[in-house]
Amino acid sequence: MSQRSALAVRGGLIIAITVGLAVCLTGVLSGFKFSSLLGQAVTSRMEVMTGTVTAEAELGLTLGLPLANLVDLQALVERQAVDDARVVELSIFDDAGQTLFSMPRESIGKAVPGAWRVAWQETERTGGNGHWTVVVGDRTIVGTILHGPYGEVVGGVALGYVNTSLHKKVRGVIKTLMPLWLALIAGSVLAALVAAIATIRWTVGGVGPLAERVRPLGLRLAGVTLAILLSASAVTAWKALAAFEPVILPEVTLKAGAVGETLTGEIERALQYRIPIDRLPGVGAVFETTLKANSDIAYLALGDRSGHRLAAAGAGAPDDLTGATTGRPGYLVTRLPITVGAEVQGVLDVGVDRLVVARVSRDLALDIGSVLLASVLIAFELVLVVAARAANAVGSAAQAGPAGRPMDLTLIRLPLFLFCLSEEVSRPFFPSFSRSFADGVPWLSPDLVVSLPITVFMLVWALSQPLGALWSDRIGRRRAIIIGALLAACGLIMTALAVTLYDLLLWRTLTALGYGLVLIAAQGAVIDQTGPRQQATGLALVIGGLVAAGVCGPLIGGIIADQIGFRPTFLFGGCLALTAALVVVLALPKDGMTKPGTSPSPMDWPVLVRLGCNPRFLALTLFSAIPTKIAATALLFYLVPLFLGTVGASKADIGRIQMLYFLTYILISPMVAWLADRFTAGRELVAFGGFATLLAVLPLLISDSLWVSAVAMILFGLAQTLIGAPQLTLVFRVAGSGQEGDRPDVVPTLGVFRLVERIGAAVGPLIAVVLAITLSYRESIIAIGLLCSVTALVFLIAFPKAALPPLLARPVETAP
Amino acid sequence: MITLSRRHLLGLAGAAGVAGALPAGAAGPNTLPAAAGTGRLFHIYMVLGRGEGDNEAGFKDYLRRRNIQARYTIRNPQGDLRQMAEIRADIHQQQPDLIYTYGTPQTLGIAGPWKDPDTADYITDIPVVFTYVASPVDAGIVRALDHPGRNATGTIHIAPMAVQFNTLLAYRKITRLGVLYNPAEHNSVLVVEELRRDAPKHDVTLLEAPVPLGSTGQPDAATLPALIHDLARQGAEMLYIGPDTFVAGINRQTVGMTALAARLPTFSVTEAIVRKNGALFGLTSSAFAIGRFTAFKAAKILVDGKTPNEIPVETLQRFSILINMPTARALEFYPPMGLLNLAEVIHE
Repeated sequence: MSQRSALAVRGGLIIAITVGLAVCLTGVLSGFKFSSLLGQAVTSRMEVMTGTVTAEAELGLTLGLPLANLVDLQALVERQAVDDARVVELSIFDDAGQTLFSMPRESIGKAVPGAWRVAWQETERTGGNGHWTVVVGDRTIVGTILHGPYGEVVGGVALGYVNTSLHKKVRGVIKTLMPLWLALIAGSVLAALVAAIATIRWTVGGVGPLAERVRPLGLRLAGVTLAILLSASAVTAWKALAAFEPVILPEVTLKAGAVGETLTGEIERALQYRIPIDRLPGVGAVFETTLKANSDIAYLALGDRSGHRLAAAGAGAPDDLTGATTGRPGYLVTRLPITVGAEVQGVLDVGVDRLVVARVSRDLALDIGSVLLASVLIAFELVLVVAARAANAVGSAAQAGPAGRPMDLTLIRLPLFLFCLSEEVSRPFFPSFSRSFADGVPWLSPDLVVSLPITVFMLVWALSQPLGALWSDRIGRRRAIIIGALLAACGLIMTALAVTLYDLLLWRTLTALGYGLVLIAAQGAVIDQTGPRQQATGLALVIGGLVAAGVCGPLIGGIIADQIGFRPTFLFGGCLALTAALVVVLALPKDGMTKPGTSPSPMDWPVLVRLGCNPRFLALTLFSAIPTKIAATALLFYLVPLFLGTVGASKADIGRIQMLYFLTYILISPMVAWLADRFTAGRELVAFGGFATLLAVLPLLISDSLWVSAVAMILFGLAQTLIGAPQLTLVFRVAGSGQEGDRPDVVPTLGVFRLVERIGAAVGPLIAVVLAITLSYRESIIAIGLLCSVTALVFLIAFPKAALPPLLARPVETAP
Repeated sequence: MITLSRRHLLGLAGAAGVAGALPAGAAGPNTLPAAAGTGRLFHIYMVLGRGEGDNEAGFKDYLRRRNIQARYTIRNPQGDLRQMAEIRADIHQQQPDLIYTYGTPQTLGIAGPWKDPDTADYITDIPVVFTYVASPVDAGIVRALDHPGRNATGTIHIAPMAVQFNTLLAYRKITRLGVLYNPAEHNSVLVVEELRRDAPKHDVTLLEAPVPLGSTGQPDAATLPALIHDLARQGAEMLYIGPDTFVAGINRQTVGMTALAARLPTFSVTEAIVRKNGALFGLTSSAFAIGRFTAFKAAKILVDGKTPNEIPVETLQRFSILINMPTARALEFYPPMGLLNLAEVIHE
């Protein structure tokens, strides 16, 4: 059957392309990760040098001499700078930015480049670890800040090095990896194509209506995709590790050697004062401090002339230092002699764990896992679109119904997914991004600066809903979606270029307008085209896209932001929104979705008045809908990312944890909807969800561990899901109870309910900021949990248990 | 260790700092402007204790580097407090822009106690910056360190007791500390009171050896060797020498050598006994650094328009650790590597 073959080929192609992209991404990620590790190894080797110079200079300053008078520093600078051929300059400059000591000497007396000064001042102002870095062309400058005896800033140390050889090494490794990667990509694409086509043909090949037969397709294809992806990605990452390790290890060893030389220098100084090496106290303590500052060194051990161990720190240190350094399994050992005059008095062993590179791979594994999950979801999403199109094509051919173009509906899904993705990618780092604007507005607290753009976004979004619905009625859904997507794309691109908080707010307003317009127009399009029963399926299609974007967006965004920074990620989002607009232009028929005048406006005044007098509806919105949305935006968008930031989570970690919320939502919501329908337990479930929100966040009280945060996030997703579906069921019932039998009020009631809900979403960040100003982030999270459980209690009291009219059609779940 | 929390001390310097006078972003908050010169020639009146030294050199050097033009009137009463009335009269007549005083007696002699400055013709209208005053609050010069409450501010040359204990215990974890002091010196008594208060916090037992006062109320130097040997016999593991003129100044040779003979490692807060008389180690502030710090405060008054009351009285945040290596070898009591890395070592 040609229908079947077409479906199989299309589905197979989609899967194959997704798999290819995912394997490609895995390779790029591995490359990024290992080359940044290599860069870190070089940087920390340079920081050992600046650290030595800084310590010497500050020791001199303690004696009360002005920096310019510490003339011994010139010799020190010259001695240090020749230690590593990559060093092109090493300078000490004063607080006015004038170079005092330098290699090469020509720089002495000259002003340091402005970029150094800016980085140096910025580091001083913000604290940090006291290290600053500037990259100019192929030259990297690492620096420190010099403090005088009363804590005043007297200048800085800067070391410039050229890392062309590093780039060359990375390029070399990637060049050797490339054929393998290409083969893997080609192989997995081919395998995915074949497997997907086979799966589709096998699944669809039975008897019965096509719409029934395609149902298990998603799960089976996801399984096939995952299996191929996992094996291809594992090989990609493993090969990358194997190729990079021989390049990174020598660099780490070199750095370990530099640390060792600093230590032997200090020990030799003590011996020159004629302290016997076996009587020198405090060596272990110095070793411990050194290990703490250099996590890539496994152990340090000091031995006397005969190799007898005198002091050691770190796991894996040998009991005596007589053995050969090459013979230690699992470690790369650098052995340095300790000499006074010409006489060797002892040895220092610096041990580097051979698996130091592999240990970094845990991070990589998590990143790759996230990419795989996102890929599977995207593939799943796309295949469903194709399958639904196939089923609908058959169905509409058979029915030739008047509903017209059900195909168009499924077509909305892809651009909607891309569009939502464009906004979601910035979620893990948006609070941090906002915070960076706090300096420009010193009269606002940084917490307020963080929440303001989020609040403005939510507010504009909420307000754009009724107006957007009316406007999209007038100009047509397709045009409204295109204009909305373009507005949002413009907003995102300008966000990437934002200079001050004010223009950031303006660009967020623009993005929110576009976002609101697209969502309401898409919902309108669904409502236009479907009857009450199909409407559920239709909205489910749209919402599925939204939630999938919610899962993939933070994941992808977190990873991208970690690699290329915040602002480029916004640009990436802008491109996604543009792509979404382009897809709509190309794929949606011009008049297909325009049905002016038939859509009910959400602002139906008689309905609004009637609902305002309905105590059940009031109880439901005031004590359940609004607090639930407050919790969702306050925790998910604001407090949780900030809290995770304070306990040391990376942006990718934050994205992964935020993703768990949506993942829970996807997996659990069908079950909850089923429960709510089956047992008419809506009221109790809604209240229980409120209490459960508090229970969900309680684990955060006991631990800073990211695993605990992950569990809390899953529980929070569970609680919100418990509320979501039954809440909607109750809305429908309350609306239905207005007039016996039929449900003319259902759609406008839903409109009003959604509007009110969004007000909750808009004030969520505001409430969060008020809490965060007075409490810690952790306490604020608990306070939001408390709010939910208290209002849940009030809801139980205010919403009587009296019988409600039966539900005619199961309402559709929507994204939080 | 003497590495105080750097953020904390930066916070202090920042709060009082020069940034206020600078346009935002022009320089870091603790950054000294290279050229703050106003073109004005300030008149600074210096009242010294024992002639010009590193303190004054550091003071003048700092102002010179900031292009602050100053002419100096130097008064050197050599500890003769009877000259103070005449000096005050001269100051009243000359009306300098700022007065620099060295040491507690000279500072009190010029500025008087903060409680009743009107009893003599003390200087209450011209800013005073003092240096080398160990306990300005106890001496009655200022009301409180963070807000002096009058026309005077300045610098303290002794490290805070907590920092002293940390340094002492960084050398070796001891439990019995002997202290030798002159009970006739107000300064010394204050320090011993602080020792008594802080020692239990560090699980240290204090063994006190006040020098007996003769019939004239003067301490008897002849008793010093016996006192030191007694402390050693009582099990003192180290000997503490405070800013005591009698013990660490006049009789430092006797004290240093006797302690060495009794194999008692000696910790001091002043330099000379470590450099010259065989005390093992010390936590001292460089006079040059203190002088510069004093000038830093003076500049805030002269250039930045602050009043002394707005400028806290402070001590240095980083002190010099001085280790006498021949003594360490003689006692076979070697300094730990961490301390050695931070120390100035006296070789021979």
